[in-house]
Amino acid sequence: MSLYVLLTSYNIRLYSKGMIQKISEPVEVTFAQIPLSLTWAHRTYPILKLGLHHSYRNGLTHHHVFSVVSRDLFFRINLNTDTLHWTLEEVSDGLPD
Amino acid sequence: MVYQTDLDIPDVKGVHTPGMFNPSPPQVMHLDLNSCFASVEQQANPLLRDCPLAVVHSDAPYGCILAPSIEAKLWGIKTGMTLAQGKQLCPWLIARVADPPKYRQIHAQLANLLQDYSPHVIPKSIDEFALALPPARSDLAGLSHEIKSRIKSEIGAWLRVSIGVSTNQILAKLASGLHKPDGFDVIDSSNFLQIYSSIPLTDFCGINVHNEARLHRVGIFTPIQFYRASLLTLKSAFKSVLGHSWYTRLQGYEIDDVQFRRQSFGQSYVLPQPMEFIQWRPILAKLVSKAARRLRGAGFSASGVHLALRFNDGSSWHAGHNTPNLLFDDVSLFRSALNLYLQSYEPCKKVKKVAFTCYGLDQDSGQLNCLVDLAKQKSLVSALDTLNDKWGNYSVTYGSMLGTEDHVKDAIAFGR
Repeated sequence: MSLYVLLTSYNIRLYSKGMIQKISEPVEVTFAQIPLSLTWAHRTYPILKLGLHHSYRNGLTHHHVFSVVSRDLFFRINLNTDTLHWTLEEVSDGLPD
Repeated sequence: MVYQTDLDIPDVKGVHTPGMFNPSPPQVMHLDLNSCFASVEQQANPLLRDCPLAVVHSDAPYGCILAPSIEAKLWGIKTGMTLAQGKQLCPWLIARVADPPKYRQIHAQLANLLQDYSPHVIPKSIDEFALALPPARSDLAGLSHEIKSRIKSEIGAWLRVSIGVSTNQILAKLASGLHKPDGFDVIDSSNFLQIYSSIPLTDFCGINVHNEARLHRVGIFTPIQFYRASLLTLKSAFKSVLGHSWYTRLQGYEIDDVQFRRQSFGQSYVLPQPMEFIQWRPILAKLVSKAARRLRGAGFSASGVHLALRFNDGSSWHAGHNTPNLLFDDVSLFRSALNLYLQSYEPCKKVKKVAFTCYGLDQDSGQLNCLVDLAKQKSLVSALDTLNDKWGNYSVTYGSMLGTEDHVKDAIAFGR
């Protein structure tokens, strides 16, 4: 719930303590060679910077992980190349924990 | 060249004139990715850049710091501290749990990039490479600048590397550590005395406090004295082949461009809290399974098993034995390790660390055993491996490993 409040008050950094949330939720991603935006919890976040793209295998399934930033929030999104489903794995704000 | 044991003395490259530094131009480059894990995390998450960051094994207060960022190092935070100790030094410290696939990918990208500069690229660890430069490369500073620029543009803008060039791998590594981060230094016959006179003995990779004490015992206290010492003095200091190796290295000749044959496969794990036998038994099963998978993957069987334990009170115990048959499957290896423990140790103390090793490696020979149906055993193991290859590690496991999902996760070992 607190994470939801945090994200809905997106433009105002009222919190002094940092936040990192490990989650596993399906998200919609607009993608053209790199992710352009992601929609999660009824909000769309433009992706302004791609930090790193890396991949790994779990069995025969190839996963692509994109570490991206939308203004002052960091998202880690994972594309499962078997199902072509995107999963949001982490949200954080980069402040001390 | 592959050596059978680490006691064989490798050949020295170049014409070695005792007592004189190698006059050849420096052609061995050492590249070190500064604060590797932390820099990669800062590359992935731009919000963490310029922040004191520690990559940790676990984000619990006792979690070990694997890599502090360059900013965290300024606060005095070092590898090996606990997260709680790090936060005492820097309350603003940000902790991130290690993510090995990221570091492996950066390692692979770096290796690919360096192949453009030399056909002889040797990964020394996850964040270090040595490469033999072709004789035509003389503009070393320009070359170093080009490699650094390409790393920033092709792999990650936040990644910084230190580069050292010398006439052998040990001195190239020493050069790469002289001006971190983002440094570049050359050690050759024109400046080696100046460098040797400005560093302590322990700056040489391989001279730890124990080796330093050995050198002190023969009257060597500085790198200059180390360099000028006779072969006989160094042999009496180290009482091993190391005396000859250091005599050669310090004079700038190459002796480390060798690969040693693998002798064992092992896995170790520091338990999150001290545990009774009944609690760490499944974890040992997982360690054995992980080591056995690597053993089979490389096409080996083992004829020896070793188990080491460290207890909560700081004491330790270890034992090993040779087995009558070659072992390759999880069950036989686990049974063998367990027997070793139950036969030779009175189980009473709580354990803090478990380490399993299998040795006596032999390529699968297909030798028949009248007591065990090896073909059946191999086909079962092979079927299990195929299932785990397809669906992911530990999709199918033995019951002895139940309850170990949160233990012995993917990790990158220090060193090679």
